Amino acid sequence: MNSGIDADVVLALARAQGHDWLDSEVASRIAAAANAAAHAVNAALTTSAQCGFELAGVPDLSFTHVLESLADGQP
Amino acid sequence: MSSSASSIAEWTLAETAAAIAARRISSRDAVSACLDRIERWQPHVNSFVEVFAEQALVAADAADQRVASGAGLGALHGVPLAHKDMYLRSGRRSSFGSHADMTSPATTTATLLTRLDAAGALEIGSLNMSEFALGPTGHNERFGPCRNPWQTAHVACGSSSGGGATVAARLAYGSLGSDTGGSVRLPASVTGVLGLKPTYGLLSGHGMMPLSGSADTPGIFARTAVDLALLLAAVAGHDPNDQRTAERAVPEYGRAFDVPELPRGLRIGVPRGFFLEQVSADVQRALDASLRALVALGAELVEVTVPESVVAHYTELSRVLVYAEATALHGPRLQRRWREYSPQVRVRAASGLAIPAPVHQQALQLRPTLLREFVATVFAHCDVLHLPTLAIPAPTIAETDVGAATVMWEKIAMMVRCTAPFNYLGLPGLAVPCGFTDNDVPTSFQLVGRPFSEAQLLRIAHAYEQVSDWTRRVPSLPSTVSDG
Repeated sequence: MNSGIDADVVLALARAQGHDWLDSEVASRIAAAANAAAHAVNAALTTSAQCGFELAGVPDLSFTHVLESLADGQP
Repeated sequence: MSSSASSIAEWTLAETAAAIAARRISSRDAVSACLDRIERWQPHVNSFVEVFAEQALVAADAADQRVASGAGLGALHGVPLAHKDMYLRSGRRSSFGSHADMTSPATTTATLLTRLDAAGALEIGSLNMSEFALGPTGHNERFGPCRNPWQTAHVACGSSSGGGATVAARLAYGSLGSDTGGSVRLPASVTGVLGLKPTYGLLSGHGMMPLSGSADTPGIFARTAVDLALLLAAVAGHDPNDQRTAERAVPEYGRAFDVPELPRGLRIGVPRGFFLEQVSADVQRALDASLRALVALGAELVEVTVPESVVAHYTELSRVLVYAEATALHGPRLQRRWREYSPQVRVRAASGLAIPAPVHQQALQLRPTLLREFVATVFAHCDVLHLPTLAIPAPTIAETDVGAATVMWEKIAMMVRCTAPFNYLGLPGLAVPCGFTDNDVPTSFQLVGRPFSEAQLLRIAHAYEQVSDWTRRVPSLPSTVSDG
């Protein structure tokens, strides 16, 4: 995976958020998690039938309501 | 206590509740039987962090007085349960499985505990768990690992490690856990009990330690489908204190068993591809045998295609929610008190530090769309999915004692491969015991259904129980205490 976030970026972000305890090894792990997260979301956005602004109208409906709308109502 | 009295602890919850109500046994008998077993099993499995022996006996005597008075009784009257040590009860301090002195005595009681109280259930202790519910193996630096009652050198999985081990060893009749990525279904799978992650929004999370508001789901351990239905019926439903809960009417879960057979024409979907790609041979044998049993009961098997282009990303999308939200929650404490977290948990709790806000927001926005796609694609062709819970045999404690090393991430990914996707999608999943792997540890199949189809899942599990004996098997007390 092409990494957009590396350990140095994580360390900078962590310091900015008051986390001075991170070392480079932990930062590398967190960078990997961040890159995997971005990759998964990008992939899902690319392959999903809807994306971008089409999704933006959806969140008003809570996720629980979406689940209720998809229940078939019979045991 | 005589052996026959002690064997009361091996009865099901339904049998015990009925016997107490009919005055064939007392609640004190049931509590004493469990306490007797806890005393013998705790050194081997370490599933409790605290036992409320005196309080439970006092509560049992009060329950027996109520029976004697002829007053109305709840469905769980006098039955001792034990829950993951993250459900708040007013006046009590919960550990959340952590070193950190996290809480003052609680000033509120979790909605689910209040509802169990109202149904007459008793609480016999608090259960071991992964630190802050961050980990699927059941390791715990403060309390020590919870061990698998079937093979004590093996993990009981997590994060609700104590729930599976306690219910399997017959130390309590049922248990509440929490499932954010598999944390009820995985422990249930490797200890040979049923484990339900209900539909997101069916159970209230009020008063339960939060980890990820978008993915957290309270869950239930029980020995049989009937027991699980009793517990679910007691706790399900809308809670004004938790806006995530659904307002729809709660079904009468006990009615799921009015007809003991499977629903006519039941179509069981067997997914190919992602969910079965890394299944070990012994787990696959157990899965295949369970499918043959379900077919013999009248089910039709349907090969289904899950949306392959996206399914591999569900677990990662789930992580986006959990890591970003867990870091938002733990961030302030981590800044000042990071030494109070064990190394592995420290890293996991900080994993959201660099997840960009748009990525988290997009993962949330994609969720309804991906859920609709999944339901339309999969449940157009079948009524439920049948897939592994844990694709591999339960590992040993030593094998998974890897701290914060890189291999830890690979092991976690492997363990939650078949469970975490359904936390992201919010769908119900039920782990049903279906045999043992080559290391003599239980394994299970997982049923996944449409939103709020818990009654259907329980009905299928119940029918399967009638032609198998996995849920009736009880682990034997080990002869020596494992130190591995």
